[in-house]
Amino acid sequence: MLRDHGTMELCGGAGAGARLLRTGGFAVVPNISKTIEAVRDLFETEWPEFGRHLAQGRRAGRRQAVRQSRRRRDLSAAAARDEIRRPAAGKRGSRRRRRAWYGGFVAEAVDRFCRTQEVMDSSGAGIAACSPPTTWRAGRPRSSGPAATTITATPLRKTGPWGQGPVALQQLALLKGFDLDGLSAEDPDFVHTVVECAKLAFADREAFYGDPEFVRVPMETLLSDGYNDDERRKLVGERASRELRPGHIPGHGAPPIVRVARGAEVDVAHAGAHGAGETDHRSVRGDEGVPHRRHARRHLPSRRHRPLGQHGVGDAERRLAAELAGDPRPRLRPHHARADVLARGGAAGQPGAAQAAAHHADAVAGAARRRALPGLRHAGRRPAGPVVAECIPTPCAFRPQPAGGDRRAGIPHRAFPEPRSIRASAGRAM
Amino acid sequence: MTVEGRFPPATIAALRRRGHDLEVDADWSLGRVSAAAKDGPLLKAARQPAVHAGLCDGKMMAALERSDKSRR
Repeated sequence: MLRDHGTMELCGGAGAGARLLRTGGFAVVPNISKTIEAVRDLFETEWPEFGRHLAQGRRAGRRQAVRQSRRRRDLSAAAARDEIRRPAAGKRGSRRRRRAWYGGFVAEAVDRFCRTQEVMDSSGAGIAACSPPTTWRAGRPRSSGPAATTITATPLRKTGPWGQGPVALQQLALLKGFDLDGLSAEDPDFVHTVVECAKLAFADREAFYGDPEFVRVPMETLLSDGYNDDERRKLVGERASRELRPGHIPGHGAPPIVRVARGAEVDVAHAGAHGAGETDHRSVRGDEGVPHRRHARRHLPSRRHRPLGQHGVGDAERRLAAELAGDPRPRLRPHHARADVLARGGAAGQPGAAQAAAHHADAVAGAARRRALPGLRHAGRRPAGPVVAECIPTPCAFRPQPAGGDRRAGIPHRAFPEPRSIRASAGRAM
Repeated sequence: MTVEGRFPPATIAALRRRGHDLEVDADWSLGRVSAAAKDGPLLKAARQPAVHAGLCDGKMMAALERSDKSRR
């Protein structure tokens, strides 16, 4: 970014950061404390380094582990920034600094971390492999520019569909068809309409967005008048919708995946409200192949890189996902003492979904008992809430397998097959 | 859905009647709004009160960076 678009030298930026971290520290604004509190358990069990810091806070008798309005210093991060700045100034120094990052001590640290550290990701499988940092490149040309709309008097630009930026544009495209002019921002009709349009736009995000280098995202259609007028806007009703209703665009979109959150339904909403989002979600694996973490780490790429239907995310989950996609109504079906499943899905009702969900609730509870699902290992100590399975269509998270790629062989992720193959498999699963 | 307490009680009640599952949070607790503009020699930036220290500085820096670039 700095090289292609910036005016400052790397030294300047990193130097300011290092000074801040060493001397004043950074301000811990209230939302930082709030967010950390919301996922404190996760930090304590899965981020040991940070967990120790939180424990210190607790010993010091603070109500919140990370005290509000207190500046926090970080000497190791400061040292790393100093190290990066060490090579001489100027163009050649910049190149050397970049090399230090992609191939030097930073790259080594990343590699060491990936090889030796057991970490949890949302699949519970941990990071399996990072492509070596030497293959990472900043400033690669993106296959698409920013998304933009001219609905407003001033053209409005947001990120491409690799981020969630276009959601705001689609919300505007939907709202364009409503007469909101006479309404104040406090009017219930105004709030209701804005919120219902937001739900539709976010549902489309779940179904269609992804990194445009790997997934073909129908951005033009999503922002087009035709799509929003004909298909989407009429879904806004008088009552609040509680369904996830992505649209239908032939040749695009993908089946939902199923995730499980520990604790009660309200915990999920709560975590979301604080921006802690998905940190408490886990994949449902069923019992047909939850791999041991160590095993998983050796053989699986991280879930983000893994298409559905591989590595223990077996046929049962595929089937379940497909069935849930056809089930619009939230169902809560007590099945196991600790496992209720809330299945939320896409279009028309199918009785099979609840049964499949119940089956998986059982599997999940079993996995939790056996401690096979790392995220659920506290279930025994936390008898409180039901296990909640939430059905979220997430095509974007999946990338095809590397074609025989291997990080030790240094095969970059460019070697992944073309995105076409994702869509094909997604189409079949639907 | 979470709304700020700045909404009038009547609005909140009306939304609940329409089936929204509402949680009322503190005033100014949600959303992050900031803006920056270059107006002749002046750089202007503003942010919502109290929540995000430093956001304004960041926006100013970004605006400064852009204006530097356009001058070159």
